Amino acid sequence: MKRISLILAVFSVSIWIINYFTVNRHINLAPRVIFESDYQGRQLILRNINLYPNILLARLFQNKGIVITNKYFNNFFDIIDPNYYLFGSHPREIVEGQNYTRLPLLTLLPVLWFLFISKIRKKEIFLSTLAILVLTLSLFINHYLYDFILWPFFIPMIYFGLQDIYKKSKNFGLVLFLLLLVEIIYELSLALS
Amino acid sequence: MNKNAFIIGLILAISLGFFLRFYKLGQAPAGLYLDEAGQGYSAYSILKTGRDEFGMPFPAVFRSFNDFKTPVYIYLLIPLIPIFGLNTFTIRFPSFFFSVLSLPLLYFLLLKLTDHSKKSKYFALTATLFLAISPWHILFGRTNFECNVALFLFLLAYYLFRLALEKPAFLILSSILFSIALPAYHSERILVPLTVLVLLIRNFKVLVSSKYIKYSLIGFLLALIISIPTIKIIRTSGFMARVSTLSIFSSQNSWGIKEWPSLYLSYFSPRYLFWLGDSGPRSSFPGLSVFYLWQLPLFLHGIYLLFNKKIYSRLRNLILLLLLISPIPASLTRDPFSTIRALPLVIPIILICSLSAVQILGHIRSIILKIVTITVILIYSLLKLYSSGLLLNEYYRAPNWDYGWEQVANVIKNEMDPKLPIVVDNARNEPYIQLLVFLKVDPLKYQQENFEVSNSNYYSFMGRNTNKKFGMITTRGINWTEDKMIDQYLIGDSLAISAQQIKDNNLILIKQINYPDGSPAYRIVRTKR
Repeated sequence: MKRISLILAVFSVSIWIINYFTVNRHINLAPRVIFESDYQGRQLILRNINLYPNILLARLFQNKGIVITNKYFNNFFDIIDPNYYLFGSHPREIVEGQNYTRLPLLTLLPVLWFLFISKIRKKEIFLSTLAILVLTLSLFINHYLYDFILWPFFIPMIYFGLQDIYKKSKNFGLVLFLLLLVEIIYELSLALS
Repeated sequence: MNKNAFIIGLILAISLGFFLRFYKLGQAPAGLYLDEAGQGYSAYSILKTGRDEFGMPFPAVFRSFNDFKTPVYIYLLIPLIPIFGLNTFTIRFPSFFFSVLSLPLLYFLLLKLTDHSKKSKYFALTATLFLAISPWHILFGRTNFECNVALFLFLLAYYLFRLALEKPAFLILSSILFSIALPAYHSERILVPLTVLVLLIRNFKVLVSSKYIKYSLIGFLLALIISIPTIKIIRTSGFMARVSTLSIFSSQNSWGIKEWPSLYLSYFSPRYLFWLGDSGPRSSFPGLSVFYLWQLPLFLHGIYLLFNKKIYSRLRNLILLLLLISPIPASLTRDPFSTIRALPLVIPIILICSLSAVQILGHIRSIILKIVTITVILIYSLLKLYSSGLLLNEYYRAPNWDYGWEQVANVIKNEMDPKLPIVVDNARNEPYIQLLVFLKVDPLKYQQENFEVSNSNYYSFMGRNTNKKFGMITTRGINWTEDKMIDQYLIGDSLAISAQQIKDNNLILIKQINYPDGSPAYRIVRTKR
C-alpha cells in the first residue's frame, strides 16, 4: 500500500511539473521582486511631496519606502483575497496576472470553517507556516506564478473543515448537498453564458 | 472607568466625528457633482414653486437626467435652503448631520443589545470611535449621497424595534421609520424588507401576542400609508430606472448569476476592505481604502471571536444579519465593490473590529501603554485621513467632482455683459444644473422655458432634452461655423475650446478656470466685439 501511494505521489508530482512548465512555457518564470527599480513610482512620490504643508508630514506618507511597501501590500492582499482562488480575482483582476480560478466555489465553506471555527491539534503551527509562506510570497510581483506552494495547505484545510462540519452538523448530508447544488448551478451558469 | 468617564469618552468620540465631517464641509471635495446639484436645485424648485424643475408637484421619486433620485434627501434639503442658502454646504448638510447623529445612535443601540456593564460600554465606545474615524462613513458624511441619511433612519428604526420589545408603543415609531428608510436610498429598498422579514420571523410570537397586536397593526397601517406614494409608482420605468441600468440581471447586462457570487464575496474580502477600496473616484479617497490597514488584524481576530467566544446573542444576530444582507443590494449591481450601495456594511465590520480591539486592549494591563497605543493609532489615522481625504483628493479628484462651475458662475455674474448671449458647451457634461444652482436661476422661469415631460408621463417617459435655455444662457454643443459669427460668449472645457481654437477663430479669452493641479478646466471666450 505504501509503495502504491509513493508511486501515485511521484506520478502526480511529475504530471504537475510537466503541466506547470508546459502551460507556462511562453511566460517568463523568473521571479520579480518588489525591490526592483520603479522610476514612475518614485516620480509620483516626488510630485505628491509638494502637496503637503510640511516636509515631516510629506515624508511620513510619501517616501521611497512607500513604493516598495505598496507593492508588498498589493501582493499580500491579492494572495489573501478569496476571489483570487474562487473567481480568478474577479471583479478586479490582477494586472498582468494569470487570473484563473484555482478552487471550486464549494471549497469556500470548509476553508472558512477551518480558518475561523474548527479547533484541531497543531492548528497554530499550520496557520503560522501558512502565514510565513504568504508573507514570503508577497515579496514577488509575479507571485501568481509561485502560488503552488500554498496548494498543499488547501487540501488539509478543506478536509479538516469538512470533517469538523460533519462532526458539528446534524444534517451533514444536507450541507454537502447544498454545497454541491450551489457548485452545479454556478458551473452551469458559467457554461451556458 | 466610572460612568462619567464613559460619557466624556462618548462626547469626545462624537466631537471628533463632528470635526472630521464638518471641517471644510462644502469646500472639500471642491466642486459640486451634477447629481448633487440636481438634488439641490430640485429642492430649491419645490421650495419656490411647489414643483420640481420639470413642473411636477411633490414627486415620489425625483426625475434627474436619465435617472430618478430618491426623495427623502431632497425633502430634507427644502427647510435648509432658507437658513443656509442654496450652496454646496447646504446640499451636503443632511449627509453630515445624519452621519454625526449615527454616532450616539450606534452607542446606545449597542448598549441596548448588550447590557450596561463596563465591558459593554468599552465595546460601544470603541465602536463609536471607529465609526467616527471611519473613512467610509466620513466620505459619505461630507458629500451629497443619500446613503448616510438612509443608514441613520434604518439604524434608528432597528433601535426603536429593540425598544419596542420592552415597550410596545415604540413599535409604531419603528414602523414609521422603517417605512421612511425604505425610499431613502435604493439599497434600502432591499435591505429594509429583508431586515423587517427577519425581525418578524424571529419575534412573530411576541408581535401577535395580545399585548402587542394593537401596536403591530397600527404600525403596519401607518407604514403602508407612508409607502403608498412609492407603491403607486413601483411598476413605472422611472422607479425601476436604477434597476434596469445597473442590475446584473437586467437585459442590458448579460452577466447574471455567474457574476453575483464574485461580487457578493468581494464585500468580505480584505483586499477590497483594507486595500483597494472603491474604484469610483467620487466614492473613495486616493491611497486610502474604506478601513485603515491597522484594522485588518482586528477584523480577522474579530471574526474568530464572533464564532468562538461567548458574546451577546442579540449583538451577534445584528452583526450576522447586517454582515450577510448589507452587500446584497450592492452585489446585484454591475459596479465592483460599490461602497455607496453597501454603506450599511460599515456597521458590522466596525463591530467585528471593535470586538477584537476591546479584547486586545483588555490584555494590556498598563493604563499608560493603553493610552499611548490608542493615541498613536488615532494620530496616524487622522493624519492619513488628512493626507488622502484632503490633500490628495483635492489635487487629483477635482475634475471628478465637476470643479470649476462655481467660478464660472461668478464670472458670468460679475465680469460678463448681461445683454450678450452665452453658449455653454455640453458635449461631455451637463453644466446647466450647476449653473442653475450657482446662479440661483428662478425655478418658475426655468420651468416655463424648458418643457421636457408632462406630469402624466413624469415617471414613465425616459426621453430627454439635453439642450437647455434659461435667460441669456443656452447649453448645447458649440457650432463653430455659426457661433463665431455672432457676438456672444462661449464657455467650454479645454477640449471644446482649445488654445488653438482661440487663436484660429480670433476669440478673446475672458477667463480660464484651472483645476487645483494647474491644468485648464474651463475657458470663457468672447467671439467678437
